[in-house]
Amino acid sequence: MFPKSHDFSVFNRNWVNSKCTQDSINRLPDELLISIVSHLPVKEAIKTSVIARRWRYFWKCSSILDFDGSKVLFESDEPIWLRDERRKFATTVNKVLDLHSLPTIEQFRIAFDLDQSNADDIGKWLQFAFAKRVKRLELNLAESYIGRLDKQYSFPNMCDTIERLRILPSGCESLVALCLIDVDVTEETLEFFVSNCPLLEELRVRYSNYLKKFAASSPLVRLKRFEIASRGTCKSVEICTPNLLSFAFYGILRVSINLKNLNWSETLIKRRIYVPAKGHIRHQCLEVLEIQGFAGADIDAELALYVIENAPSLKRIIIDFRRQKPDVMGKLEIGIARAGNHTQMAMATEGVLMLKSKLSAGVELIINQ
Amino acid sequence: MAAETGTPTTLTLKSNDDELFSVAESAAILSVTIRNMVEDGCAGGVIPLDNVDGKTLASVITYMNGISAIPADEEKKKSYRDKFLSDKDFETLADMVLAANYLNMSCLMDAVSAKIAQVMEKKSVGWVRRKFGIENDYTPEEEAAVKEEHKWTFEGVETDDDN
Repeated sequence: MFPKSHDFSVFNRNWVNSKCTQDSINRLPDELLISIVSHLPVKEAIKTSVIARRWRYFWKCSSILDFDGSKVLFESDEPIWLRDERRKFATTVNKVLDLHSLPTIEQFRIAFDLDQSNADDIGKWLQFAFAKRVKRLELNLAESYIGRLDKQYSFPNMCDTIERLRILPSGCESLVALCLIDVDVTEETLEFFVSNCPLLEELRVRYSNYLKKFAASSPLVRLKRFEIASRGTCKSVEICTPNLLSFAFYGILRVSINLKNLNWSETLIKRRIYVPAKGHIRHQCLEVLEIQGFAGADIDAELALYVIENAPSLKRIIIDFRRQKPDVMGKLEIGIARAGNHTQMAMATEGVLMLKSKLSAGVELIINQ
Repeated sequence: MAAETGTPTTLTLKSNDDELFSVAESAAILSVTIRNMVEDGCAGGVIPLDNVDGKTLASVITYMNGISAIPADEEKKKSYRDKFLSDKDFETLADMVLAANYLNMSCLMDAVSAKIAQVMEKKSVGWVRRKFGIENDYTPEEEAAVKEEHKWTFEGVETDDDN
């Protein structure tokens, strides 16, 4: 019939043969059409193979592989079985990866409610992404409904040689951004990445049950964006990030402030402050501080004050009284204000007022509620 | 860089239809092609850009000036790009992506590609062909075969589970 998938010479032949009208998209060279197709979600990209002969294999050279299946779980009118959907999703990803033919990729993203039962597949995907020298890697396995009892996916332990050789046979030096949501990743594995990825600029870790603390042994000079969210398991964060541009802290909404939460908070803040040498400024470049789930408790204020004092370039503080719900769509939970708890609202507002009084003139305070 | 003295250096760019444009060197070197010329010292007189017409070059220069005025804030840059591209029709976008490619401006190229992809997204194959003036050169049999090959992406994967 017509050429097999890996025969790319077909592109140029069609390019010359087709009568390209000057007004059509056909006047663009293959590399630009591939760049356009790369920006489509994977399924849409594959659909472009039907447009015309020239377009048939473009999707296989896509440098962005964005597998976002989360909408299926939210937009379906029919009742769906998560187990079936997971199987379908994994089959789709596996097929696409089998056919993909570009030696390197820019971005690899998985967004779907998967759990430890999908570990074999996810392991293969990670292997694929690292083998193709991925720059931006995101695993967003956020649960599609609250109260799921499945075991969260455990990221392979990179300090175990066998695991490391399985996932990263050729290293991970190309990594620029790593985002893990609802993935159980250990401190050792994160430390492995921060010390072995010389280009790493962005690190986002949300809701790892294994992450009890995070301390990097050496300053993370390249790190520009850092985000951490914890359901309360992470007790301390201790890193030196002199060039940080943005820092997001997703705390827990204090629906009821109890000793346990307070303890957790205090430990976090104390470790975070990290006693800098006198006069030495830690966060020279930090411009934006965003605190979600701000409840006016000591932790929130202390954290903000610490940043204000140590970030001379600070331009904006964004305070959000709501907390980000750990779901795929990034929806925000109903703010405490709307939940009608006046005491908590008053406490949060008081916290903000106190903060405002400490701000220097150039810093903007934005409040979302 | 060629000149790092106090006064900002201005470059003169010439489009393929002989229009001349003045642009600050600091903005123009967003183009790796131009930056290389500056570094090699070939940017003394007029820089000819043989693959870009005047209308497109004017637009690219607006972009260069706009984006280089924004300090290192990726979000602001992104929203500037979105706004800059929002009112461009498809022909202009195609000219821009060709120019961005020639000038080696990866951020503009990426943004325009994403914008064109956004236009295509969720549209039928027929719509894309009509909109972009693409002639369908598949025979009906071939087209059916390609569709069949990727049936699973259109309709889910149940039929492939036996493989």
